[in-house]
Amino acid sequence: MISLKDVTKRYGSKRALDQVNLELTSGKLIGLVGENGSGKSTTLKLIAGLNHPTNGEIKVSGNKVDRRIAQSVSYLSELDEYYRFFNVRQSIAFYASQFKDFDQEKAYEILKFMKLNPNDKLKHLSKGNRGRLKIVLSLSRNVPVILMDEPFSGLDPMVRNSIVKGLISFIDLEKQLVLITTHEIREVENILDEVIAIKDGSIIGHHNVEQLREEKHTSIVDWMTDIYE
Amino acid sequence: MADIFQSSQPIYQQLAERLKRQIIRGELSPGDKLPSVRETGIDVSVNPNTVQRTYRELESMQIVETRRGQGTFVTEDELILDSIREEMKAKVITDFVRGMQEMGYSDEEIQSGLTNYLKEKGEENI
Amino acid sequence: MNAWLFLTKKEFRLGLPSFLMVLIFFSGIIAGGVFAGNQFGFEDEFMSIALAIVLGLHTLFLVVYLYYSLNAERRRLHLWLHTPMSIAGLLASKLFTGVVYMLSTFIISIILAIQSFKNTFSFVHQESLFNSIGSTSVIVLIAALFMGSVFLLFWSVYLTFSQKWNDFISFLLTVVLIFVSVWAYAGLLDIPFLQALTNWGAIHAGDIFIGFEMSYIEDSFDIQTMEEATVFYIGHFVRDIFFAVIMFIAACWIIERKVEV
Repeated sequence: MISLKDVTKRYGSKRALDQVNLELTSGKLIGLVGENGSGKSTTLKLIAGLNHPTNGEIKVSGNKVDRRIAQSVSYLSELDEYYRFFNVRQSIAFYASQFKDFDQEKAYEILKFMKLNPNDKLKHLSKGNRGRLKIVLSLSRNVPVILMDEPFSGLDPMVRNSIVKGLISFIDLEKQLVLITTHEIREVENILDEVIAIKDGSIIGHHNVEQLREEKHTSIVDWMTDIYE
Repeated sequence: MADIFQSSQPIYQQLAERLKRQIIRGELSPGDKLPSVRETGIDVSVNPNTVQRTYRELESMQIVETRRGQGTFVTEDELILDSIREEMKAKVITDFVRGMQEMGYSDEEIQSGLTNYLKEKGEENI
Repeated sequence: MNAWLFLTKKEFRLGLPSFLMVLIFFSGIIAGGVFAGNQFGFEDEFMSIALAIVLGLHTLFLVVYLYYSLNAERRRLHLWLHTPMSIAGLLASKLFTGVVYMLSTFIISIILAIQSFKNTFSFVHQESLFNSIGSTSVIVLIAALFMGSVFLLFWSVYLTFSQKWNDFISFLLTVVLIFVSVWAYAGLLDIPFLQALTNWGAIHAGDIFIGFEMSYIEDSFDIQTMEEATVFYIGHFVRDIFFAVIMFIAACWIIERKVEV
């Protein structure tokens, strides 16, 4: 579904990713974890075609990635910037007009689940509700790949919990692959199928989470602490 | 919410244990339909793939059965249900006894302790 | 296409504040003209000067508009660029809304200008007036489009620079590049071959000012100077539009290949 082959990304002289190889299959919720600046966001942007690899090749569903991969990839940025003159309903309508696979019905279902008011202006939304709206917009597409960059960061526990529930409720794990970056592992450890640890631009571990628990009797957090040293 | 599971043990096993307890306690009766994979996932905040695995596991132990197009149901086979009861009892007793023995209690002490405890508790309830 | 129309609707809303700012600015200039006219007499003359300034400033309308709109987008490139639409579609939407906004103030200005010029230059023949206003409009609008494309090109260059260096250095580099480009472009226009290619469709002052005005003007000015100062070529318009399109395509290419979020 997603494959990275010897992918290196340099920003000037700084190496953000170093010879990364990754093979991700559909139907899974995958966590990409690591410290700030370890290359998590870069990886997501590269898969979304919003950054370009310095070397190597990235493919999604067999197609070489460029910006237009947006057709089959839904990308949620960690940034909190939307068109503030829209209200919630207009934001949904705008997204629906830009993406053919956007499912308005699903959007309103998630909206209801997240307890958002369609008439609220974006500029009046609280940070938590903006975080919820981002989830609505990115999960409403019937798209094979969903990329979420730090969906929990800066949000209070209640919002995080509703996002976790929203993920379980509205992702179609028969058809979709969800790749999520976070450093709040505890928040997601019960919903991940796989976990990938990244450090200084290199992948240092990639496991099935249940296997990790079954074979090594260790939690993701302990495993992370272990290999990160 | 996430605290109902231990993060260092496979969640599919913990969830299976949890469902077995619910069956023994009678929260789930023979013939009851289990919530869908997604519903259970939402309820306990667990990945639906993991719930799916739990259901498969329980099915292979014949504790539940999946009827095509209808869902997953608790078995009505009394023999199997009895054996779960016995198995869970044995498991809890094993854990208890091992804990007591680790602290150095003799078998007699454990037995009399347990008898006394049950007697006192029985009196309280009267 | 439907997606593009929705996008364009968004662009109208996004660019509205800059349109209003320009509108207020232009109104201020005209109000200034009216005020000065009242103060010193010569109402029509001051009004005409104010309107001439406003019409001339339209050459920079698209630059201001695009600056505002693209700057707003720069903070959310991850949203703007995360779409299956082509960059050409994205930029065309901005350009289109900018042109619509520009035309709305331009047409109002022209109508006011015709009224005012008629009174100020009452000695000029009606037809000459229309001719000169018509040709001025073409010059201003094409210049505006040209400048808009220049801005798009160097904005995308600036964005590319700013991925490597900080904003200030990127800005300096872009400015240097603009000077070099202007110098190179001027050199290019001097090439005899290009001149031969574009110096066609000459329009002289005489083609604009008809009848006795020509002789009137001849009396006042040296006709030679007048001729030289006011001759322009339709071929140059075509050349400018051609280069505007080239710059637009270049901007698209740069944003698609080089700009990262």
